[in-house]
Amino acid sequence: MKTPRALLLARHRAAEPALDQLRREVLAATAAPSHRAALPPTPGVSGFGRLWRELFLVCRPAWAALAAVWVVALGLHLAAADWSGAPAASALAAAPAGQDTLAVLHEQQQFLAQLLDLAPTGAPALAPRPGRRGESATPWAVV
Amino acid sequence: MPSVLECESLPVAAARSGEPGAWEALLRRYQLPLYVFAFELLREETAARDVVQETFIAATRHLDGLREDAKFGSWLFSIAHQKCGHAGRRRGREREWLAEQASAPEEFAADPREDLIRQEDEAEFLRLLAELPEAHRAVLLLHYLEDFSLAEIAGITAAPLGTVKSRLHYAKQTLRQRLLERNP
Repeated sequence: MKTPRALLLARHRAAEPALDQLRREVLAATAAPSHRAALPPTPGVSGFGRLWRELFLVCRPAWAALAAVWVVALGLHLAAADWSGAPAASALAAAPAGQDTLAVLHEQQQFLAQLLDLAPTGAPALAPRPGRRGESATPWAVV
Repeated sequence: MPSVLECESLPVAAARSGEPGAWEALLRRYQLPLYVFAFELLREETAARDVVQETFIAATRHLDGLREDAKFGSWLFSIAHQKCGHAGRRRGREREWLAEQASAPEEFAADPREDLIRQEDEAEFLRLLAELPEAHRAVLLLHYLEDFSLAEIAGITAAPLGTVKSRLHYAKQTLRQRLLERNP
């Protein structure tokens, strides 16, 4: 009677010389001063894939923690934006309407003109309203 | 009877400090179990040897990433399991995933040493093992070869604990039933 382990190991015992050789090769490459360069590249993994694995996958928990911190920071930022938005809206509602603003602006303009010793300008001259298409002078003449 | 790893003290710390003798001992200890694991999953000698080589290289490169020295064995097998997956995909094999049983009974023989195989059943056992779905075979091999706990196997195969339990139960039950059918 054998255990499954003993049976499985016995079945593949013949592979041991090849495995010994393989182990020696790996250890020889590892023992070399520049063993990292000497080791055969892992097949099926591109340069980008290796970079991704070494930079990201090795310290996955750290990246996950960093992402969590960013999410929390974003949430706090959005919440703060909501709070600061309320007073701004009330201030906007309390602001004078458009006509009032124009009147205040006009007064300030007059005051500025007085200060600069200029004649009062009155209402600012409006730009001539463009006439209708039919009212405009015909730029051509029928000969 | 001592467990597979019960009396074993692995020189992981020495290997971490760069002692070549420690690496020699570690790799020698695991080379055959890793090869058996890879071969029984991939069913090809060259592919299995490639997996062992790639696993050794990865281990020598990334030992610093291992946090607990006591978990060296399961860490090594998790690398080998990943390499087997890559090798299987490279060869264009479709992974066999059987529908999992909804729930796995708790009472199965947790100790692989209880599953003794009679001499006349050995060939049949190996043949039946090869017929199991790949995911179930992987779990069973890890259980038999290194006596890994269910949690360790779950970590190695990146599968939920319940799934591992279910796979192990199913695999053992299937093997037992078929051996019984052959020798009633």
